[in-house]
Order: sequence, then structure tokens, then C-alpha cells
Amino acid sequence: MSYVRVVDEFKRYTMGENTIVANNGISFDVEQGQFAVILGPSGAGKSTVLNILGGMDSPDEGHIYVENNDISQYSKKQLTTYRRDDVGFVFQFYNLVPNLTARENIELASQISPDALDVDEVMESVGLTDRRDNFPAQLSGGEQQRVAIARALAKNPKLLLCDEPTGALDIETGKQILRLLQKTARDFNTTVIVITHNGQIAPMADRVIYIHDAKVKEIVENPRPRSVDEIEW
Amino acid sequence: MQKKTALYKMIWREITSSKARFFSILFLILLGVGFFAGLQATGPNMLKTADDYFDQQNLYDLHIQSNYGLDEEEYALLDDKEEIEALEGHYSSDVLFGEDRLVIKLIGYDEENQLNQFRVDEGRLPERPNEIALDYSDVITSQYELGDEVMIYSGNKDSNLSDTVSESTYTVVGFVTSPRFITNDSRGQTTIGRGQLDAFGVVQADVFTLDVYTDLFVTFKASANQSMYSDTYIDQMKDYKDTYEPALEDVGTGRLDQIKADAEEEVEEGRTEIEEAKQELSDAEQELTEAKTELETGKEELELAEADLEEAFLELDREEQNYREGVDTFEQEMIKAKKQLRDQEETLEESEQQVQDGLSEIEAGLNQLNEPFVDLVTQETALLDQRDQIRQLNQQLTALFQTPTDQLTDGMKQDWIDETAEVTFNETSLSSLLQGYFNGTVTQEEIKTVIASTDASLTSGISELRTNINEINTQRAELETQQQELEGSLQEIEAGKEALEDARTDLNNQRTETEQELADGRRQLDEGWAEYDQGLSELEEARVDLAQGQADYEEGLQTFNEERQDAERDIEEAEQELDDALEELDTLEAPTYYLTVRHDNGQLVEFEDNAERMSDLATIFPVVFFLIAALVTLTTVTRMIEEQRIEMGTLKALGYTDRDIQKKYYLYALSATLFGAILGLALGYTLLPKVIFNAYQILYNLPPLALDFYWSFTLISLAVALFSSLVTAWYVLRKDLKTTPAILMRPKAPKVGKRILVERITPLWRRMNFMQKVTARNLFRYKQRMLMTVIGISGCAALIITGFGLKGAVEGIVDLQFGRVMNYEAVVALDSAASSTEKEVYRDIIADNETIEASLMVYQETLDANKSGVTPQDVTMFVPENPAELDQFVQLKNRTSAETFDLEKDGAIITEKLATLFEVEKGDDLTLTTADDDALTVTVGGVVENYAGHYLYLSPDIYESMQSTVLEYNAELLKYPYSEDFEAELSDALSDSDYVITTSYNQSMLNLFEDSMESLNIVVVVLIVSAAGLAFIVLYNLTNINVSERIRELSTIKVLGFYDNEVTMYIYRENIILTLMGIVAGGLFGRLLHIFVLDTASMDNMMFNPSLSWTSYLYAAILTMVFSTMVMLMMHRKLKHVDMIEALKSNE
Repeated sequence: MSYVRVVDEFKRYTMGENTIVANNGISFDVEQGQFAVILGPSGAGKSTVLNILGGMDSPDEGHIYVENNDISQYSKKQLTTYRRDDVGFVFQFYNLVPNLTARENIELASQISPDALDVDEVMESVGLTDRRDNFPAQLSGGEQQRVAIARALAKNPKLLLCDEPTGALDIETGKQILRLLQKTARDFNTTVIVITHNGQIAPMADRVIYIHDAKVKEIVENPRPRSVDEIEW
Repeated sequence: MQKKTALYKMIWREITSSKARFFSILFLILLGVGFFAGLQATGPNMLKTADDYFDQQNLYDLHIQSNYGLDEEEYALLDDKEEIEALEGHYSSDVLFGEDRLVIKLIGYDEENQLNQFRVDEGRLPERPNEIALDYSDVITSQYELGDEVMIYSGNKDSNLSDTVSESTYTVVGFVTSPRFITNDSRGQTTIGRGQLDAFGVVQADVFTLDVYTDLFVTFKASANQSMYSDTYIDQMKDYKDTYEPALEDVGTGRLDQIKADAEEEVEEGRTEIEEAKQELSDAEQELTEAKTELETGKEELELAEADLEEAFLELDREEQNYREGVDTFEQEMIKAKKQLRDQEETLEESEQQVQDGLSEIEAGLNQLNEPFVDLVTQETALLDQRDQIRQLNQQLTALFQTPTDQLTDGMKQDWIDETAEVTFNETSLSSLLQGYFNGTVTQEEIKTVIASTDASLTSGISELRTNINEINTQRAELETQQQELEGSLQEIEAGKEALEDARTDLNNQRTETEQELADGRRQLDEGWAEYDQGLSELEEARVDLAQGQADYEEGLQTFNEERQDAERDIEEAEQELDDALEELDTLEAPTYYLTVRHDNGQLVEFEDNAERMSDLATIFPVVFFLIAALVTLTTVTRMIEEQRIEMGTLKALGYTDRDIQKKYYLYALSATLFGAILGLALGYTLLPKVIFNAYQILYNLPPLALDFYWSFTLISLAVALFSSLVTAWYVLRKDLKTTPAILMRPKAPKVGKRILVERITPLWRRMNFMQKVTARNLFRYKQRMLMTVIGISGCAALIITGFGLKGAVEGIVDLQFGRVMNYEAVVALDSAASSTEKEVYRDIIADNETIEASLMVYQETLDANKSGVTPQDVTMFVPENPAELDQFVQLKNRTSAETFDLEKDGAIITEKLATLFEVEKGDDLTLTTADDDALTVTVGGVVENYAGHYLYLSPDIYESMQSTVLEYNAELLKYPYSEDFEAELSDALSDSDYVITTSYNQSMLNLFEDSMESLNIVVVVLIVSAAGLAFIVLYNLTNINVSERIRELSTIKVLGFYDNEVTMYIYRENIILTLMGIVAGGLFGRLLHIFVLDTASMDNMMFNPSLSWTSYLYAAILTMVFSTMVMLMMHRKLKHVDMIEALKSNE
């Protein structure tokens, strides 16, 4: 049984009189500790899948199993608990709380999580120990994103979901981030799912799920993923 | 001109998509404008209502009274004035009323009256002399109903009710309101009872029996079209008053002369009367003297009459003697004469007897002869008859015999036989002879012989008989001669008898005569005696009369002596009075005229004060209110524009002009502001004044509020409202539009996180948990909004505190006044003219009552305090009999210095508000006016705490040193533990005493007071509700801004797995702290506002409790927190539904 299983998942949005089908029967699996990439063009429904996986939204049909729990049947409260305990999120625009220092931003997550890791260790693991007391505005984009990743990791989540984590970063910084994410999957045995429209990232994933027009086009297993450094943009 | 429909669509969408913001601006403006305009309008509305009402009821402009009343002269003086619209003379009198002896002003009403018209609330006005319409006030309506019978009594023991009015019993026919008395509880001062009028009553003017009017009422043409509260009106009325006063005084001097002349005439009349009385007295004395003389004469006469009577008695006695003797003589003579006559009579009767006896013998003899004589004659006659018969028969037989027997018929023969049956001859009957003849047996000769023999025998019988008869006749003659002789002597005797009879007759005649004479004598004598008796009884009567006369005289003398003393004293007194009157007349002053214009009527002024107080409140409250509303509007508009930088940049980049871009925000702000303002004005001008005025209706008898529209307030509020939204928009826009579209489109750098001061205090910072730190840092991140929130909340909290504070200040008065200041429970107004027995009875009632703890006699009077620029105030003066005891009944302590005063030592003590109003301190002089219009100046010895009314406490020494009159205690303060039952009992006991005029209980005053406080309470409730509403909107608005500003942050923590309540608390923790800070700041601000408001809202005769109770703070805090919680709940709902994905997607 896979760690994450998405089975026949549908999501429709009603915009006035039109119904937009964002996810049209999506099914895929991700194994525990895998670094998976969901790849597809803008508007293909990647983010919807991620939101549903992350417990921020619920599917209209289908089932989502995470560690054998069907989160598609969760209530709002259960979803919140699920987010709180099991999921780490990394956004394209970091979404740090500007009024909190790097360390505090991480604490914000760790304070509420039962299995939280030591904040300082996490900070060290993302290489931000000396920036711990800086406010987000005092940090570079990469640093901010690293804080965001640290915030996600500090919870010791079962699932780390990243929405275009490198989208707002330059290539070098992006690579750093991707390296961090890959390392996280390896070191912490955390299941990492990254969505991106950047196909270049695909070779470094254990599994690549291609989504197009709200449907899964192809799922490619990568028996020997490359490291970030081997990738050329 | 290009069409910019897309732009307008955008504006419309902006409004519809941000309803909450649009409406919060709208409501803020609505509340601000409505509250401002409404409160501002209330004062003017109230004044206009009163003014309209007075115009409608034709209330006087000028009211003239005089201590001499008002006569035709005064009327005539005013009647000539051009400027006067209407002039009317009215009657009124203050009397006691009903069982409770309420003091009422009895007002004469005439259908013709145009001025001071009554408003009939129930029933009708009096139409008959014994009908009365009563004051439509609680005092009356709680006790009386239509149809009740009521009595009125003179308020003054020295005067009769009938001197003023003709009726004393009335039927209640209506309840009315007078424009002269617009408050519900006060009817002004009076000189009777306890000095305060309780109510008024309306009776027909004809009921009054007064010679002169008591009141003249005037309205002026000039006043018709202006508000009585305008300065021109006030000045004009003052001018008229100042002009009329001297003119009236001139008339008054004339009247004084007239009065003096009249009085002198009266004095003269009095003198004449006294003279007459004196004359009467001396006349009476004269009469008495005369009576005495008469009595003495009478006595003398009586003595004379007694002597005469004595003489008469003696004479009569003598004559009586004579008379008796005469009678005796006469009777003896008579007896003698009678005896003589009787002797003679006896002799005559004896001889007569003898003669009579002789006569009787002769008679007897004669009678013896008679019998044989008669027999003889009878025989002779019979023989003659027989002879005749035979002769006759013989002739017939001769005839018969001539006829042969055969010729005779048998019948004839039978007749012959029948007829001769009885004729017999010598035993032979003729018939048988005839028979025989007829038969032929007997011849005719035989028959003729028989006949002739018979005849011859008969003739010899006759001759014999004639000889016997002659013999008897001779014997008779002899006897008759003897009889004649005897009868001659009998005649002689008869003659003797006749002579005797004559003698007797003579004697009788003589006797009758003498007896007549004697009777005459007797009668004369009797008359004499009767006369004597008459004289005697007359004498007796005269004697009694004389004694009566004597007694009468003595009584008269005594009466006279007694009465002469009284009369002389009376005369002396009357003379004294006349002298006094003359003296008084000399000192008599011209009538004093009391001219009062409407503004001298305390009630009207008080109402004006109340209305102005409303305006004062309307200044400070709405300004604070409005400021907060404007501030929050400003924040809201600022936020809105900041949120839309990108849109602005886009529009700008697309080539829209600044004006077009601004238009959206201006239109948005304008529509929200205008709608809010219009709704606010509509509600403010109608609802608020009505609510407040309704509250004042508890105090005032006025018609429903006349609403009005005020351009000034409308424009001011519109200007402020538009300023706070449009100018803000303009300012923020101007700054933003100056920059390039590129910068605009780039998100405004988020507020940079900063270390805050608290972090430097390491021990504290370390102690705080993570969320507290976050909150602390957030608080200081948005300083501007934090400030706004604190200001907004503190403003609202301050308003609420002030509201409750005002309520407490007002309510506190009651508790302080009746709990702390006045320690007595009742004031008994006493009638100093009562008899000492009545007083004794009353003293016993009080002394025997065990519940009464203490009592104190006082002199009580209501004084007037006047000073220009200050509304005239009623001051109650207490002069206690025992000044040392006063502090048991009234707390004599200064409120701030806590210094206590002693009436004995300090002399005159006044209450705080009076001191404040008239700006006097300890040691200053204060001049007051008594009910008799005398000035009373006291040196203030102390100022004491007091909240309701004004009091002057004066020691009897000082009072007496200033007033020439003797101090008569007319009231008593009673102290006892209050209970309703006991008061009812006491009231019962006291109502029987004639010494008691009325009793006023502090408890009922307290109740009345609380009622009147009720009105301010409603105003306060309006304030509190409005402030609370504002607090709510402010909190909602600011929180809303906070949330929308930080929606990304909130979404983030939501994504991080914060539960809904944790999310709410994440932001609300700040709000709670801001609210608390707002409450604390509001407490300080509220304290200041409270002091300011109390100062402006204070009433003249009432001092508010200036200390602000902690409960006011508490209520304000609780209310603010309640609103904060409500807003939190609303925000909670909103946050729950925040779309975190949407918020996180975009780059800020």
C-alpha cells in the first residue's frame, strides 16, 4: 500500500454559470520517503491536487489516502488537525509572518505540532542558524524560502508539500532549495511532493506525475533520480 | 467625452463587494451626524415647543401684581397703551384645599379671557359657581377624580374665606394645565401654609368677591412674531417693564392719596361713632338718674295712697255699722205691725165663723123644705097632665063617636086600640072599653060617664095638693128673712177684712220701700268696699311695681357700671386704633407694583435652562462622538485606498487620469457619507429630540415636541462628515497618485517587523509565551491602527462612563441628600395662630410617640435669592429653636474640607450650590428677599454639603437681630426610623391636630425626586445606547480593517494548522489588549468628560454628586468588553470562511 494514494479524485469549481473542472478523475500514488514532482502547465489543476492533498480543500469525488487514512472524508476540524500534525507547506511566496523573526516563524509551526523537532536543529539543517533573529524583510528570497521550509519541517510532517517553491527564486537559489528538499526526503524519510511547471526539475524526482487538462497524463518512475547539481536549467 | 461605464461598474462592484465596509462608514456617519444633529436640535426644539405652546395659550408677556391689588386706575393706564395687544384683569387667591390642606392658587376664570388660556386635559372648565377645574398634576390627580366634592379653606386664620370668594365647596369638573405652570411639581411661592404652592384650581371669576383685580396680564403686539427666548424679545419686555413701572407708581401715588383720604374719612367716621358711643353712655347714665328720681316719687305717692286708703276703710266701717243698726230697727217694727194685723184678723175670722154657722143652719132648713115642695109640685104637674090627657081624649072620642062604628075600618079601629092600650080608668083600660064599643057591647054613655068621673077625681086631687104647697111656701119665707139678716153681718165682716187687707198692703208697701232703701245702702257700702279693695290691690301692685322698678334700676345700674367699663375700654381702644390708623396712614407707602415678564417666571427659565443644558450636552457629547466616527471613517477610507494600490496602478497604467481614478473613491466615500448623513439627519432630527423630550415630559406639562429642521446643524454635520471621508480620500489618494503606476502596482512593502521595546526588557520577554510575544510585537507593528482603536474605544468607553456617571450623579443625589444630608424624616408645618390647647395636644402627640427619636422646632420660610446673571433661586430658611440640636437633623459639614459647623457659633450656614451660584464664601454677605419682600442680609458662616434645593440655616439670635418681628416657630422637624406603616400612622395622628397645617415627608419627596430624575435618566440611557452603538461599530470596523490587512498572515497560520479559535485569538488577543487599553484610557478620558458634562448639565437648584462611582467604570468596561466579544464572534465567523488558498496565491 502506498503512503499517499489519490483515487479518482474530482474537483469542480462553479464560477457563476460555468463549471470549471479542475481535477477530472486524478489518481496516483506516492510512496513513503519519495520525492515526487507533479508537473504540468499553468491551470492544469496541479495546485488543486496539492491543496486537496494538503487538507486545505476537499475533493468533490474520489478518495485521498494518506498513511491509510481517507482524508477526503475528513471534517474541517479533522483537516485542520491533519494540517497541523502531518503536513508541511512551502509556498512560492514563502508566506512568512513579517512581524516574526526567522526563528519565531519556525516556532509558530513547532509550537502547535505534537512531534515538533527542535527549532534550532531544524534551523541548522537549513543553514540559517546565524539568521535566526532576523525578520523576513531582512532576509533574501532564498533565505526566506529556507525559513519557510524550516517552518514546514519543524513540525516533523509526514508529508511536505511545496507549491512552486523555486518559482520566485533565481536558478542558483532555486537549486539550493531543491537540494534541501531532496535532502529532507532522504534524511528525514519525509514524503515530499513538489508541484512545478518547470520540467527540468523532473529528473531529480523519484516519481514524476504529469498532469494536463485536469487529468493525469503519465506517471514516470525514476529509478535513479539525479542530484540537483546534475541538472542543467 | 468618453464613456467610462467600466469605471462606474467598478465603483458599484466595489460597494457591493465590500458591503461591510460601506455600511460601517455609512453607520459611523449616521451615528455621528444623527447624534450630533439630534442632540443639537433637541434644545431648540424644546424651546420652540414651549414658545409655540405659550403663543397658542396666549401666555402673558407682562404680569402685574400689587400689594394693594389692581384697580381701575391701573387698568386705565395700561388700556391706553398703543403697544398692548391684550390687557386683562384676573382674580386669584391662595387657599388651603381638601382634607390634606394642600396650598393651591385659586384662579378666576372667565369665558371671555383670552390670556393664559388653560389646556383642558380632562373634563371641562367651570361653568357654574360651585365648580372647579384642578391642576393636572400628580399631586392632584393621584387623589381626586372628576365629580369629587372638595372644600377650600382660608389660608389665614385672621381672614374669612368669604372675603375673597363666595363659595367654599366645589365639584371637580375638569383637570387643566396652565401655561403659567409648566413644571409638574412646582407652583411657586406663597405666604400661606408652608410657603410652597402645591397646585392651582380654576373657578369662575364671579366666585371672587374682591373689589380689585389681583393680577393684570398683558400681551404686546411686538411679541407676536418672535420667540420668547430671543434676545430682542427679552430686551423689549425689559424695556416695557422699565417704562411701566414708574408710570404705575405714579398711579399708585394717586391711589395712595385716595386711600389716605378714604381712610381719613373712615377715621372721622370712627371718631363720630366713638362720640356717639360716648353720648349713648352718658344718655344711659342720665336715664338711670331719672329712673331713680321717679322711683322715689313713686314711693312717696304710694305712702300717701296708703294713708288715704286707711281713712276710707274707717269711714266704710262706720257706715257699715249704721247700716246694720237701721236694718235691725226696721225688722223689729215690722214684726210688731205684723202681729197687730194678725190679731185683728183673728177676731174677724171668729165672727165670720159664727155668721157662717148661722147661714149653714138656714140653708139646711131651706133644703129640708125643698124636698116636699118639689114632690108636691111634681104630683100637681102629673095630675094636671093626666087631666089634660083625658080632656083631649074626650074631644077625640067625641069626634069618633060621631062617626058610626061600622064606617070605621079595621085599620082605624086597630090604631085606636093600639093608641089607647095604656089608658086606663079605674082599672078599666079604655082599649078594652073601645073594643067593647066596637064590638058594641059598651055604649057611648058608659064610656062618657067613666071619663067624667075620672075628671072630677083628678080636679079634687089638684086642690088638695095646692093647699100643701102654700104652707111650705110660708115656712120658707120665714127662713129667708133670717138668712138676709145673717148675710148683712157677713158683709160687715168682709168690710173689716178688706180694711185689714189694706193695712197689710200698706205695711208691705212700706216694707218694700224700706228694704229698697236698705239694699241701696248695702250696695253703696259694697261699692265702697270694692273700691277700697281695688285701692288696696292697686296699692299692692304699685308696691310690686315699685319694687320691680327698684330692682330694674339696680340691675340697670350694675349693668351700666359694668358696661361702662367695657365701653370705656372699647372706646379707648377704638380711639387708640384710630390714632394708630392715623399714624399708620402717615407712614403708609404708595402701592408697590410687581412687574414680572415671562423671564421672571422661574419655571419658564428653568425649562429654558434645561433646554440649553440639552444644547450644552449636545455640544460636548456629539463632538466626541462625531470625532470618533470621523476618525474611524478616516481609517476605513485610508485602508480601502491602500488595499487598492494595484488596481489604481493598473488603471493609471491603462491611461486613466488621476481624476478618474479618484472619482471611484470619492464616489464611494461620498455615497456612504451622504446616505449615512441623510439617514442620520432624518433619525437625529426626529427620534432623538422626541425621546429626550418625552423624558422631560415627566417634569413638564407641555404639548408634544414640535420638530424642526436646522440648516446650521445640518450643514455642520454634513461638512464634518464629508471632511472626514472625502478629505481623507483626497489626502491618501493624492499621496498615492503622485507615484508611478509601476510602484503602485508593486505591493506596498509589508510592515517590517521590528524589535519592540518590551524585548529589551529581557526578563519580561523571556517570561512571555510565544503567542504573547507575537501579540506584543503585532500590537506595536500597527501603531496607527492601535492608536485609532484605543482612541475609538476609549472615546466610547468615556461616553458610556459619562452616561453612567451622569446617571450615578443624579441618582446619587437622592441617596446623599436623603441618606447623608437630611437626617430627619418629616417637616410638620405648624399654625402659629393656633390656640395653646391645640398646641398642647400636638405636643402630647409628639411626646407620647415612642418611635419619634427627636424633634426640633424651627421657623421655616422660603426666601428668594436674586442676582443679575443668575436665575432667581428659592432658598428655604430654617431657624431652629435650639441651634445646638440642628446637626442631629441636618448634616452641617463642608463637602471638600470636611469641616463641620455649629449654628450657634457660625450663625448663618448656607448650602454649597447656593454658595457656588451666588459666588459667596465663608465670611461674605448674602442678601435674600423674604416673602414680604424685605431684604435679609446674612454673613455666611459656613458652606455645607447639600444636593437638592438651597437652604439657609440661621440661628434665632441672628434672625431676631435682623427682623423686628418676634420669631414664631412654624414647623417642626421629626426624626424617626422610616417605615411606611409608621408614617401612615403618624399622618393619621397629625391630621387631627388643628395646630398642624401640613406634614411633608422626606420619603415622598424622595419619591417625587426620583421621578423627576427619571427624565435625566432617559437622556442618559440615550447617551449610553448611542455610545454603546458607536463602540460596537468602531470595534467592528477597526477589527475588520485589521483582519483584511492581515488576511495573508491569518491564512498562513490557518494553513499551518491553527484551529479556528486559535486563528481568531491570534488576531483577537491584540484586540482584547487594545480594548482593555481603550477602557483604561476611556476611564481617564471619561473622568474628564464627566466633570465637564456635570458642569454644563448641572441644574441650578441641584448639585450633582461629582464623585464618579466605580460602577460607572465597571459598566463601561463590561459594555465595551461585551461589544468586543460580539465583534469577536462576528469576526470568528468571518475568519472561519476565509479562503486561505486564495489569500496565499498572490504575491503581496
